Amino acid sequence: MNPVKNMRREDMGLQCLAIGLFCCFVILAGGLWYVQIVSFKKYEKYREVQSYRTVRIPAPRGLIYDRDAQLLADNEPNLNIVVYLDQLREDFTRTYHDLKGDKDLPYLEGLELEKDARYLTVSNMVYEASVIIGKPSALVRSEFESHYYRHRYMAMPVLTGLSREQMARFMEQGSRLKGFDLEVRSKRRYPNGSLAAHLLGYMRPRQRTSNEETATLQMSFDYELPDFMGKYGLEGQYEDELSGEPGAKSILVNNMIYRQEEEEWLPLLPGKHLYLTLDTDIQKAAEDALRYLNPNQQRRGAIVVMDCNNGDVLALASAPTFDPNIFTGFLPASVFNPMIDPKGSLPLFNRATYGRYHPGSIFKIMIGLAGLESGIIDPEAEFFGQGYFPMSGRRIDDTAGAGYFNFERAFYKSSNAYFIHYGLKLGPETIVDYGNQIFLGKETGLLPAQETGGYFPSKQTVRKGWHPGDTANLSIGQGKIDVTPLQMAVMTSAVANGGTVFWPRIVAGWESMMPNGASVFEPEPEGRIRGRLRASPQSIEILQKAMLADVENRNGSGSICRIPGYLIGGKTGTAETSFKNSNGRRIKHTWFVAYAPHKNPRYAVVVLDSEGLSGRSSCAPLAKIVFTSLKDLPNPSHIEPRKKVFTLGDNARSL
Amino acid sequence: MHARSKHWTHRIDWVLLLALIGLASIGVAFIYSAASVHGITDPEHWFQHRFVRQIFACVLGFGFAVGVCFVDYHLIARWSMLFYWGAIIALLVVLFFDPIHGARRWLSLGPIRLQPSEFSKIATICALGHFLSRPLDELRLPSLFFQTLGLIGLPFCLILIEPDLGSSLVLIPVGLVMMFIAGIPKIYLARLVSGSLLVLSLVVVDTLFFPKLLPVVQLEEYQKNRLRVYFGMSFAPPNATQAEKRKADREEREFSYNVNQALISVGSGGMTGKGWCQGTQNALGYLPKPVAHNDFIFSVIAEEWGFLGSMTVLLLNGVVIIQGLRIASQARDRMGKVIATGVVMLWFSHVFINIGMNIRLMPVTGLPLPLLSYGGSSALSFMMAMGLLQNVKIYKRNY
Repeated sequence: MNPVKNMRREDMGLQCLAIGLFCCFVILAGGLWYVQIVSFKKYEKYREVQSYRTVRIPAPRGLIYDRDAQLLADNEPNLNIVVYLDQLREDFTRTYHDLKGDKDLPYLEGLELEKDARYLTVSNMVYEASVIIGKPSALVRSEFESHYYRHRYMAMPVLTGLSREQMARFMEQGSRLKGFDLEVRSKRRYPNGSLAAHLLGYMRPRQRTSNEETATLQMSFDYELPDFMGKYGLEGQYEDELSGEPGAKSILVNNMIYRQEEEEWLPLLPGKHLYLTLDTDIQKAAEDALRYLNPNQQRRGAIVVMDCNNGDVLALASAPTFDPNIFTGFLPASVFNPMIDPKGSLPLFNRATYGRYHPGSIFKIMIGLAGLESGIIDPEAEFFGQGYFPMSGRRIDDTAGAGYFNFERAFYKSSNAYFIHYGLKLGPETIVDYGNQIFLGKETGLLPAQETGGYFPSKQTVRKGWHPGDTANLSIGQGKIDVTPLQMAVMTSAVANGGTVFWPRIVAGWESMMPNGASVFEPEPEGRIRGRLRASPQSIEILQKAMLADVENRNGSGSICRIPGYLIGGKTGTAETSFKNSNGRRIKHTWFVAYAPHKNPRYAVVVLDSEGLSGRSSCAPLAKIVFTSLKDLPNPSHIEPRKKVFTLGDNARSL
Repeated sequence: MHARSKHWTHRIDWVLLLALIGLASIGVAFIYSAASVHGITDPEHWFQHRFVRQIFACVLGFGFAVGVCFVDYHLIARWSMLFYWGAIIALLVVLFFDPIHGARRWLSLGPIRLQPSEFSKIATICALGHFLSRPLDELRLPSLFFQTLGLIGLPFCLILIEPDLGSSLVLIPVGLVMMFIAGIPKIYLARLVSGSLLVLSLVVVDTLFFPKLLPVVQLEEYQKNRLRVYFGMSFAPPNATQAEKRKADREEREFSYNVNQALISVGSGGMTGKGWCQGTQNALGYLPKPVAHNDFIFSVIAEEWGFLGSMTVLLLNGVVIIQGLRIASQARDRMGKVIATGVVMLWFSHVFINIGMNIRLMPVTGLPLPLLSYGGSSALSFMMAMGLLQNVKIYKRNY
């Protein structure tokens, strides 16, 4: 045997081996490169998903002020005691071993016992805490377990809604309780109770499933700290602006899903403060007026007060009303269900913007204007009314009685015969044209999606299948016409200010807080003009005089509203409907629209009682109450945020 | 001694030594990292810390290795059958101890626990080296081939029934390569390889597809499950009821948990990693505590040092293997060459299987990563194996 040859052959084997091992190393290196470099993002994502939980932190909600910076909606601190479960892990184990003793348990029984041990540990501590603060409370097992399984990395609220006294007691003695802590959350409060409730709206607990943020922020939260969201009124309308933008924190959790570390990475953006054109005093007067005469019986009506020179809404009252504060707490069905019972008085229903009513005689304002402007009505010409109007075989009643009427007399006596006569002469298209000038049948844009436009025929409608009877009805505000009190306020303002139709405005501006503590006020445009009445100043003057006579003339239908030394122009309206009330009588929509002072009009007031007797007896007295308080008020001031004194409520809003 | 007659410093493989020191240091550092952040109660005494014990083991192992270097490997080989049978007895004795974590792998001697399977691998390598160093003509005899198989098969079976599938399987590549290098006819080896491949695939197919039909080899349930996880098979039998399926799915999740978490650790390390002691996978307990510091130490390294760290580990091991192969090629006789190759192959198998399992290239087995994984027996035995390698180098010019 040749040893050299042998060696070479053997070296060949080693070379093969070396090559083989090298290949294996290349495979390993390639695998590592693939996993660590190519798939890095994927695994990093996995790691994040399993070890981080994102928590939504609600931002302090913007406050709502009236035009004089009086608070209409506030945030108040809500004190809770919470327990951090991650700090109790050792106690869980201890309790478990105490319960178990020396026994050996099968796996599943052991798990059950661990459950019991956890609940027992926490519930004993909750009991101790409840003794300390003197508020009996028990830990609900199902709630505890659900929190434990889903969000054990979060503190669990165990005692909620503490009084300050209870808080003090807990701070004094509760520190020995491991894992327990005090937490402040904020809660919406409406300091004036039901004042302007329909306008402000209310708040309900935010549903976990609502995805508004998820859509815009492209993120989903594992846990959302309890929060409320505006459901109705301005709270609902401007939810985004008021709620601000929630912050987010990430909680690093271990494999037991217990909290390890927290990091707040998305600072929250506090909600903007909302300034309204509303005047708390006027609103109060309006709501008092709605309670006038029958404070207990639930009047179903509305009062709108508008600055007729710029369309600012000064009061928007609807009756019956409700207290929005009850919605932020636990709301039992026995309280809520009657509120939405269609047979009940529907207190949540905003009659000022959502109610559709026949205007009745107050629509004669528009008929009169159209007649005067087109020259069809000669204000001085006398017209003989028979006390009724014969209309294709039937009679339309006329409460004004028989006699001779010039325009002013026909207006303040509210002669149906007179206005039907001229209405028919005007023809439906002209009437529709004048209705369109005040945008009947269209929403006013005050609360988008929270108001109705009512109904008003279009020119197409009146051209086909339209009967003179319909025109006659329309001429006295009956039949195929539905309006809202807010629309009538716009109309009254337009007549009072000489013909300008405004977009009504409720939002005066937004105040945003800057991070440096300064604030910026962004006003909403004031007095946006929507249109103009096609009427000469002379026509409007004649109309205004007729409206003045309605109140000032002893025989005027609105004479109840007369206030000595304060000239008011108005018009009553009573519209019969086909509905009947519980007494079997036809329901009447009764109105009184008015403006004052006559010389230099400032306020337009609309009163509606949807189940009144007549405009004269049901609504004019309420308007008088409102005007009585209005007449002493200084002129509406310019709206700007005032310097506020910061109270605990403001500071405690942050969590 | 002859060795000292020449410059002994020239006879030591310094590159190999440096690579070993590097690996051992990384090992200690990451055992520290894996244990320090758990928040488990600190041990009472400083010497009970895992990384301290690992340092002990490494230093002790180094001492043994130096001791091994003083004895010519020919002398060691002459006594190797004694070591071999000693190891076999130890493997038998182990079976009478109470199982720990479901396996009887440890000899409890007071405060220390030894894992005889680790030492038996080296004893087997020595014994094989000695046995295969006979003239080439003899190696051609089929009877000798079967005796060799028996030599490997005895510890293989004993380790298998502990059970420690990984450790026993490592003997197969080691034995095969040693026989190949020693000059056992390739035809035998080819038959052996194809035969064992056939058996292996039968086992796998049997486990995966016909769990109850053909019980060819009865694997432990957890071993079957590891195979199923590796091949991505559902745990549920095809005609399982809803409840059974759910139970099986849950088991599957639990079983693939380690693998998935290791993969997430390695993958989320990226290029540079999160920094020593900064890894979250281990700190938060996603990497299971019982294995993070030993079987899955590589994922801790890969997470905290990233791709660069894993390449460093790979490189150091590559150096060990290259130096080992050089020593094998320069050995003065076939026995030295075969022993050196066996040691290299043992080292390589551990590295490949362990790292491979961290990145899902290999099914999960409980094989330690040499000098990196926590474990006294493993550190001791690998240090001794390296001593053996040095020994082959030191005594290559002694005749």
